[in-house]
Amino acid sequence: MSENKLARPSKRETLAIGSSAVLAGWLGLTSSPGLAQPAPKRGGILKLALADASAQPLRPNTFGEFQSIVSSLLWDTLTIVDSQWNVGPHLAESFVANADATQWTFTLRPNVVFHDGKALTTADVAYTLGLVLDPKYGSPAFGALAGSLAPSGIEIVDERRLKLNLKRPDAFLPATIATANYGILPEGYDPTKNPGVGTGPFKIESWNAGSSFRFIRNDRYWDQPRPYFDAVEASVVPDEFTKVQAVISGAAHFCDRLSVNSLKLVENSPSVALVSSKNALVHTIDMDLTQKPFDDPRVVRAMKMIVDRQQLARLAYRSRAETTADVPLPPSSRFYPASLRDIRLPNVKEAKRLLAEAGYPNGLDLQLHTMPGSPGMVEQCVVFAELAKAAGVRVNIVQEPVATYFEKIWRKKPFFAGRWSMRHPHTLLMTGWYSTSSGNSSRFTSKVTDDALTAAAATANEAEALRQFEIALKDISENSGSIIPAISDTFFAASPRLKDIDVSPKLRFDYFRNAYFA
Amino acid sequence: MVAKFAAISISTLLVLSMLTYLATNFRSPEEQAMANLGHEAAQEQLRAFVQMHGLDEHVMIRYAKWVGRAAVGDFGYSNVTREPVVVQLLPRLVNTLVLALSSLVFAALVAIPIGIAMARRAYTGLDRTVLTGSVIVASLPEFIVGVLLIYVLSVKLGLTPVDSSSVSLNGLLRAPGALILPILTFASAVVPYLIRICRAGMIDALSSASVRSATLRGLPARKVTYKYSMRLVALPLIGALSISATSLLGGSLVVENIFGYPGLGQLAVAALTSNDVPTLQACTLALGAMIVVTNFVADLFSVKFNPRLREGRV
Repeated sequence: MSENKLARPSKRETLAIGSSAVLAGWLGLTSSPGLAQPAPKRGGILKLALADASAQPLRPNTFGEFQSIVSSLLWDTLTIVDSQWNVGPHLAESFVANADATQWTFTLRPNVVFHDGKALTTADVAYTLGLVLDPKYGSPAFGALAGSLAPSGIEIVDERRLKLNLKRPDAFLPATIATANYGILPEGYDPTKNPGVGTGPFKIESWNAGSSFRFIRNDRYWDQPRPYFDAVEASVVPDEFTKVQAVISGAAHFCDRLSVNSLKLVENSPSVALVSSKNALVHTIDMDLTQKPFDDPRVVRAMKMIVDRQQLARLAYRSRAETTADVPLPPSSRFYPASLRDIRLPNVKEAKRLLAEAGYPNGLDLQLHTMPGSPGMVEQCVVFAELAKAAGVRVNIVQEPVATYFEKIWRKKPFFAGRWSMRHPHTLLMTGWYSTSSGNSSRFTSKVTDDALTAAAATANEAEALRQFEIALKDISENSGSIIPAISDTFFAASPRLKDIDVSPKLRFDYFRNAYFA
Repeated sequence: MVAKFAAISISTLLVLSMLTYLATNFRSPEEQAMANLGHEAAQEQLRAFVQMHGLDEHVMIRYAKWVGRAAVGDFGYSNVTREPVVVQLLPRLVNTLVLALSSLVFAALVAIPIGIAMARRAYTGLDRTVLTGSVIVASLPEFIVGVLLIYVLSVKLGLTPVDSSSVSLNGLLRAPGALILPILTFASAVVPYLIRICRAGMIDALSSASVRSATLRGLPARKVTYKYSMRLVALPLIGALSISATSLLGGSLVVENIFGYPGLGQLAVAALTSNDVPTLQACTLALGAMIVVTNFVADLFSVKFNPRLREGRV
């Protein structure tokens, strides 16, 4: 991404998006810096081989990579973010906050129509946000939005302007609503009558839930000259070997996430390219601070001292990970404070001393529960267990089934592995480390972190927001029950003909927004 | 006799339905809600899900309601798509039936002539070679065979599509090539077994008194084999085909997922991984029903070919 200051609007500028200078800067983000690039060619049918076979509803509000890719093709969001979480306009041509970020006003761009020809209005936006905020609807975005906005806070000013009156200051709201879960639906949307109707770059030609789909170019798309493909076809191929072979043989141009077992196969094949999404996954090893032995802070500090993070990243992730200081952000993130950049080295002697002081002179025997839920999750635990032996901590790995892990194990056992997909840092910290959040896996309660995260969202000053992030992250690093040695990458296989794919982890999954065939 | 078989089949299905329902409802209501909404779901969402799906009722009450609706083809709504389960189920059921039947017919067309040929050359070097080869093929798991076939026939030789996803995109009739690899994979599992059954049955038939007397009367060998001997082989062959059909239906969970074939097996695995309990229940019951019906039909054919069974004497 461009390092131009204009391309990274400050908080104040973000709060007043609409100025031509910032818009020009934003537009700069979407074009390559430096040498002039040839214009993308239009044409061709993009073929995808996707593993997620779970039948999905035609609504942009469920988890699953398949559904999220579908969402990004059919629906648009009000705002858009880049890999550093800089926010820009999308369906909303401008968005402005009041002085204390308790009210946001969005202005829709004109002349946008849905696939069925109906014009986009604020009534559609209000309807969509109302659905996300309805607990019966089951949107995974509910938790992140409901903390800031109640249905009664949605106020339609006119057909193009909408006000969101918040329950608490939230300067990050535009970034929150930029994810794939916030695709704007037409008012009264019924997938059985009008399936997949959105304002997105493609529209449905055929849809077989959990099996395949074919979308064709939306010729009335507002963001011309996108999209560059004539159509997108996707098939569900659950078996990873078959999926990869489909790309190698040319039957498909792109397949979704690979396990580490397929990396060598893809790397050794000249007809396919390995595409990586940097810092996409946060794998934690969580200690429940309310259960023995982790109710003793000395034990928690000791456990955080026994890990050689560099070695773990090398062994568990084959060096395709960035080490971090027990916070769910990589050091390359602009939110990561400089004061945490010296990643703590292992200190086995001090760890043993702390354990002895806490009443464990002969070390600890622990059971670490994990599941093969994502590449590297089990491997991280295995390497951790090996490294922990040096400090007299004997870890027995218990591999649990994926299907029941989050109901039976997560937040129930004292010592377990967790997993987070990378998202906006504020959303991630609020979900996983805020005291009252149901996602707070180590049951970490800290007024310092809570107040810092609240203050970060309440300020229009970027420097102040980053300062508050630093306070929260230092507290989490030192005192939370989460051991986070590294942030790892995820991988995809793609045809070398496919250009300008963007798989950076933004929970938007709009991989093909700028993509085209060479 | 038919009524007796029908009663047994219905009882089997009822027991299967209860086991299926109880096995898919081992979670507490909140755990089931979390399984569907994700571990980051808020408490209000979990509570709303439990209420919407009636999970707060006793499991036996829920079972009674479910089995009553299932008897008339109503399997409720998918937890994931929120559409009637039967809308997804029926086309997939047809696809699985087509694949299973095609595979069975193919396997029979390959195995029976080989079995007959080997019976007539029993204990020769060729016979031993074929038997050894069939043991080797039978011992390979289906997913290994599938992957090998993809690698050789699709990737290296380019003779077939890599997967069967074109069935979903273009329909079964316009994508017959997509069936080749799944059929070959299925066949690898049942052909060796059918060869052995057919061969053993034919060896017994060829040495039976009726066949020897036909031979001594000077009837042509072809007539002796196909008219006299096959009648005696029919009964064990029907049993073997029934067992093979059952094996094919069960194997659909693996084979359909290897090739991305849009059948009941793929839907069942997808429902399992996405915690879509209503769809999983429907798939299990549908697969079970197909197996029960297969056995029922096999029993009817057995009775036809073995008069002693008609009279209840074996």
